[in-house]
Amino acid sequence: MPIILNDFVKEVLDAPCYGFLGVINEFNQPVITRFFGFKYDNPLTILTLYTFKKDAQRVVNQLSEGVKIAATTSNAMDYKTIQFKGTYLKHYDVPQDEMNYARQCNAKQAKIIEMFGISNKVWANWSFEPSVAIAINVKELFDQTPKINTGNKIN
Amino acid sequence: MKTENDNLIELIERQKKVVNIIHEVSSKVNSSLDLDTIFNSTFNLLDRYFSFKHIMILLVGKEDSDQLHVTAIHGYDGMGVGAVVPIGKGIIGIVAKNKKLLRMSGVMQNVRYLKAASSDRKSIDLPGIENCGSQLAVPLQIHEDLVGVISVESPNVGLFDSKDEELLEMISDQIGIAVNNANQFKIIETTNAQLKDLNENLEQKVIERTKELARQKDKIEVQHSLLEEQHITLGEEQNKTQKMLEKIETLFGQQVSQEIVKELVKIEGDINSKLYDVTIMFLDIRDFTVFADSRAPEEVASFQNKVFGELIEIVKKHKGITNQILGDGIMAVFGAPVVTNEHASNAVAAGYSILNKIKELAEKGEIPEIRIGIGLHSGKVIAGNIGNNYRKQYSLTGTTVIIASRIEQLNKVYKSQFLVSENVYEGIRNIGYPITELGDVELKGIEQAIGIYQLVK
Amino acid sequence: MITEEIIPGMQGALPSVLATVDENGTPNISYISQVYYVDDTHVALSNQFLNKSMRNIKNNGIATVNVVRPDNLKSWYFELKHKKSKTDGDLFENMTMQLEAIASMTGMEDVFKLRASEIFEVVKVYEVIMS
Repeated sequence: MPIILNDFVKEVLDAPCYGFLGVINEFNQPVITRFFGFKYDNPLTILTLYTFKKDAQRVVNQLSEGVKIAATTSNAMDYKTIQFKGTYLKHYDVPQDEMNYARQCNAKQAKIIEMFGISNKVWANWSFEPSVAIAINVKELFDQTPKINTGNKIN
Repeated sequence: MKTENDNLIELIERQKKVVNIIHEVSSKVNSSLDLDTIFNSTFNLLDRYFSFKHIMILLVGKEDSDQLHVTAIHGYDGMGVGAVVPIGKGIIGIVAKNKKLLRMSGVMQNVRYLKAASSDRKSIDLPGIENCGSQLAVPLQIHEDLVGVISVESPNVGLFDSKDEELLEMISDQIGIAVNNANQFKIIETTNAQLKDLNENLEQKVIERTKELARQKDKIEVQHSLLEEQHITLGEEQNKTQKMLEKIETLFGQQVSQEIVKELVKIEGDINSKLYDVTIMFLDIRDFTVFADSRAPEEVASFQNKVFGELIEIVKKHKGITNQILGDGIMAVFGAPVVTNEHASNAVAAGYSILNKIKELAEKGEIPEIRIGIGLHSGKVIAGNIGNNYRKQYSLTGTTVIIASRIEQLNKVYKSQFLVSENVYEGIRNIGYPITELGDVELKGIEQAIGIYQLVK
Repeated sequence: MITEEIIPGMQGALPSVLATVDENGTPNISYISQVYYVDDTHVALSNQFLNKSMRNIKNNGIATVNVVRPDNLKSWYFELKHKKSKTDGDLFENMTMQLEAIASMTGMEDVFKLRASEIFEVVKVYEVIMS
């Protein structure tokens, strides 16, 4: 069922653009990888996250129909955080026209880079050109902004 | 990549620096009491050797011991000495509260993170650099007491490690010693000033005290001489009294009652021959000679001592004086040398007492049953010392004496024990003794007949 | 296991990530302020703001974290196994002091109290390759 996005969620989705997504491997161990940039529709049904193949391989190895995926994104400025939970839809190599999302992400980070006093050279270690896109059927949203009794379901 | 050798060299270099810095700081601490000098040289050394660019020393407030005051700073523009940190607030405040060191990285980031979680809570203004990446704060202690905190900061994250903790702990020991020295010195200075003040006042105080003591001494001396005079006077009085007593005893050949003594002392034993109103008592033991003949001399003497002893005591009790002791009786006078209006009633009471006593002693078996006769007469006598320096005797002269004797003799005639004259009766009529009037009797050698009364039980 | 190179990433300069799994095999991903270095095979977490994550850990003891060095943004994953919850000792006291120091700055020292230090054994460490 599509999820109507409220202001809070929109704010979070618009501001930062990276986070971590993860699945559970055959040893019941969570395996995670970073995503840098994403695509979503409003009302929200599908969330597509852009990952770096080398690091994402462990996750990709686990992907098959019905696999549960979690993805969390956090705003470095005000720590507003949202976790998405859903199931695997599909994954594919990132086409050129979807590289924008990563570039947008870079642009949004400029302020944070300045605030943390991080040099461009160093930032280059962090950011990447995405190679694998993973799409999720989003089922639930959680507000995980740090505070007492955090973790409330949003939708 | 650093080789093991490189690491070792680095470690040795660092140790050298640590030794140097501790050596220099402790020298300063030992040679100076000026905290500012010590603090500043410590800061410079830490900066020079270890590139600590932002250093703060805070000391616990004297009056407000729940706060720390920034006392010395290095590398803080815009923040001055005197800023305050409440104990329990922030890294420095928590270090003070727990008296344990704390090293933290990402201070600013952590603050931001928690602040975001605290929604609209305001953060306290605490002294420190703007964007603190790392901070290391160590408590300053003297023995177990918290004295302050020394804190170093850096905008770089993760700048301080455990070796820096050790270094700053050594520094804090030295600073603690310096602060303690300065405190002790202050105490000594204050005490010295107080002593000086005391000293200056002391001289003055001593002078005043000495004067005071001299005054008191004079007072005491005056009191002392007064006492001495009193003592002498008392001694003289005592002597006088003693002499008096001896005189009296000699005079009367006996001890007299305390009242008489007192009286005589009062009149200074003036017992020159004078006219007195007295009551004379004669007492006889009936048929004593017969009694004495049939007894051994010791027995007789014992009997006499016993009986006369009691009689003299009774007379004395009634304020009389046993004037004469005859073998078989006594003569006593009441009313001389101490004048009294009660001489008649005293004599009568004495008479009754004697009769009771004799009866008692006989009943107890202490003396054989004897019969006695008492005769009383009141009248004038001349009483006084007769004799010379070698032998004086208190003598009574006058018809009163003879009449009293004759009245006693009448007991043989009337077979009575206690007869008194009308003169005596006058003195006792209101007392209500049981009495029988015997009428006027002519007495041998006395012109006028005298009214005689018998006192009965 | 935890090399010196990694330690600067364990000082709370940049947030870390904690991933756990529930009884249904559903992953849960949270951000945490710091993964504390205990020794080269152990780490500690403060269970501040962790609700679902802590339930999962108490349930199966499994966790994966990511730590990042603030100076060069290099990062590592740790696979962890929960060992114990400590409410005393030097580590707990140190973590408590740190939390108290920061919380007291906004007067929240009574609200943000360290309930326990969660100690984990480090089973596996691997570097994040981003190029």
